[in-house]
Amino acid sequence: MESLSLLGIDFWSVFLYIFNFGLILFVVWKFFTNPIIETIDKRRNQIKNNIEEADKLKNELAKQKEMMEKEKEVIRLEMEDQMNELRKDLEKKRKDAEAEIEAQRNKMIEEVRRAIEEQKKSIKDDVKKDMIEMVQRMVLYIVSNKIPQDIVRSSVNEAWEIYKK
Amino acid sequence: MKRGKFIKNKIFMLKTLGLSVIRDFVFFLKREKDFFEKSNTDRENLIISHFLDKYPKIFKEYLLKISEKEFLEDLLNLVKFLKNKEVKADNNFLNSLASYIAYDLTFIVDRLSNDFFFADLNERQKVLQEFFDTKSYFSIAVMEMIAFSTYQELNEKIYKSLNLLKESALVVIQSPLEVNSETKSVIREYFLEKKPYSQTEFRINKEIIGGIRIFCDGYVADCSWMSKIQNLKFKI
Repeated sequence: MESLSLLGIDFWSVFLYIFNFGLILFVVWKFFTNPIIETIDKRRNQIKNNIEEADKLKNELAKQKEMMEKEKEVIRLEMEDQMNELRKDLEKKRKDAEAEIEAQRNKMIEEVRRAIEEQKKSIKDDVKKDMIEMVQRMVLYIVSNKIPQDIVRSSVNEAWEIYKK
Repeated sequence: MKRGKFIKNKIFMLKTLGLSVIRDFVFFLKREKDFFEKSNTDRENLIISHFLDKYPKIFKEYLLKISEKEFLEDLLNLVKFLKNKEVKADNNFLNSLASYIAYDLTFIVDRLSNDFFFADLNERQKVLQEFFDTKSYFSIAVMEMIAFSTYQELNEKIYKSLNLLKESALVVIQSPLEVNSETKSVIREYFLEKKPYSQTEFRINKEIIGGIRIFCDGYVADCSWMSKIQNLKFKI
């Protein structure tokens, strides 16, 4: 005992320390352990729930992703179909337009040909008319200026004889 | 005498000619008071001795054939006609006047050349003395009327007078040159035969070049060279 006191260790102090320590341990066990454990459990449960929720969401996301993929594929196929339809339609319209243009072109060519024919005929008629008028003027000039008066005078009598008949 | 009067008065020709003939008759009847009581031969001799050869035969014949009563009736009708322009079909005097204009006067006008209407008055009167004597009222009146009219005015007066008395037709003959008087007479006779009391007017139209063009009662007979030339184009 003495040796312990020489070393500076006092029994009562140790006892007091142990008692204090026990008291503190009791108080902690009595008032803090359960709430801490409860809090930790709650936290653990929350984390667990969160993890589960996250897994659930992950699965759901994966499912939705898969569905979206499928929808995307369906849409892609539909689009492809529509594109094909559109292409066919366009091709058909292009062919129709080409046929129409060809018909219009033929019609225009025919009209131009007809107009040219008419123009040719009109020019021919005009030339003929001009020629006749020129001949008429020439004949009139010759007849008016170059025929002797006595012939003109006798024409009156001849015309009268013709009229009487 | 003013020329305006000739143009304005529509019955001027009938009035002038009619009254001048009546004046000649009255002058004659004043000298021969018992003319209507005499025999036809005496009447004829009296007429021949009083009226010169150039006096229109048609009026001499009228005077020869008419009785006193008829003459007075005709005179009355003539006055009525000059007043109201009413023509009685049995008026022998107006009939004689119409016949003179259509069958006598027009032939005299045909014998006048175009130059006549552009000559001076003395020359015109000299030419007219070939056709008319200068001693009767009638001749003086006709000569004055012709001398103071253009060819167109004269034709218009003749046509209007005949139209008033006899529903005359107007025939227009177009020719490039003046038609000679023989041909004019032939043409006139032809149309007078076809349409009694018709008036034939001769016009110069150089544009027809040759032949003649006839307008008669709404139809046209084109025997001109111009129409023949124009018809050429239909044949070419």
